[in-house]
Amino acid sequence: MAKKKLRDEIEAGELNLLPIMNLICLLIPFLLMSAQFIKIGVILVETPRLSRVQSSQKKKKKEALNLSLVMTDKGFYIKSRHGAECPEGVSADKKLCFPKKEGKFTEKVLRDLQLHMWYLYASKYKDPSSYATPEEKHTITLIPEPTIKYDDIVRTLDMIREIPRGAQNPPVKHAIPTSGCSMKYNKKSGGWGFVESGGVSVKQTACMYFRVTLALGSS
Amino acid sequence: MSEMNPEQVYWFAKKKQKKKLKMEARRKPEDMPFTITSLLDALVIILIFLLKTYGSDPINITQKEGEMLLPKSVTMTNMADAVDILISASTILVRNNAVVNVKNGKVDANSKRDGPDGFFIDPLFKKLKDEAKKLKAAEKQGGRPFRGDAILGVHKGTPYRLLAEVLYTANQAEFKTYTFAIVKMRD
Repeated sequence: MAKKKLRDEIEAGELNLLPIMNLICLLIPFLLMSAQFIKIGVILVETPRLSRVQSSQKKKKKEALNLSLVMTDKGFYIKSRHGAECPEGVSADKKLCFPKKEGKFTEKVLRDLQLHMWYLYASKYKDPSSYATPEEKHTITLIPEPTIKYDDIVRTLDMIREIPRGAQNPPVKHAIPTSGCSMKYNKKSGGWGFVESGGVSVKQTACMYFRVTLALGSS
Repeated sequence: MSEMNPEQVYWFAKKKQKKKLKMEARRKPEDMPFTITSLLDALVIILIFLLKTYGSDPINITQKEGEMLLPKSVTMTNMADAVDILISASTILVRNNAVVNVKNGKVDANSKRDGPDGFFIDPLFKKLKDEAKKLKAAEKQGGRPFRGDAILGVHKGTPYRLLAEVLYTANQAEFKTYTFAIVKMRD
């Protein structure tokens, strides 16, 4: 009899979970509908006008290298103040250093471009005296023709920004962090800085040409 | 009252047994209550996961085949709060408000100040100028300083000419720092 009374008391004290179940069951479909499962990131770019303002603020003592990458319907062409910057053995007469394969900017074409950009960055123009300012070492002007698709521009930006893994000419002497050349926004200063990996800024270990100025090429 | 024959006795006994079984079956749920605690635990875990993924980015870009598909990139840089300009296959939107229509990767010449070869898109300029005014007014009220930051979410099939027109117009409307929204290929 006493046991039955105790059992009745316990049963009467149980929480009624149904209202909270109802609430959760309503919230889940709502959140499922509005949730974004893909992760969105950003790439920073500059425009010629912005670059001009910045560069005019500095007194130029040395001549700038003015490295530019032209994207045409036929492929890539690289130039600087010294003229064409194509790989050795490639004629610059047709203004084409890396032609498209089967009418596309294939992964192979982009990888070849990346390795050559690494050669220019880490070997040919390694010396800071080649540049007007220290920042210019990381600067490039990307000049796509008006018909170039945005997707190809983003893929090209990826290739010129990141130091290529497994490059041999010259070999990469340090470990490239998995985070790659990623940046972070400083809310206080309102500017973009670099992520640190192992206490070292990825600017030193993962970034090549991250200061990209977009300009418009002629068709 | 006449006596029942054995067949009737059997029939009554069977009916009584059936009734008893029915009663027992009806009583069973009271004896073994359905426990929803474990189900509730699972739902709470799902809810927390969804709440964590919801609204972590400053802007929300809905992907739609043929209309708005962002390109993929290896970058791991996260978004920062800024005015969002979306260029889809059919519309240019500022803060999710349609500003001007796009047809075959081009803005109608009537919407451009300098005709078909011009870069200045009038309705986009007006909208961005309004946004700049609002942000500057908010700054005076103690809000975030206006720095002219814009995030561009661009459909991957968009020709560069249209993007250049949008960048030019945004620049005229005091938006001078640009980030391109992409889909991250690595976490």
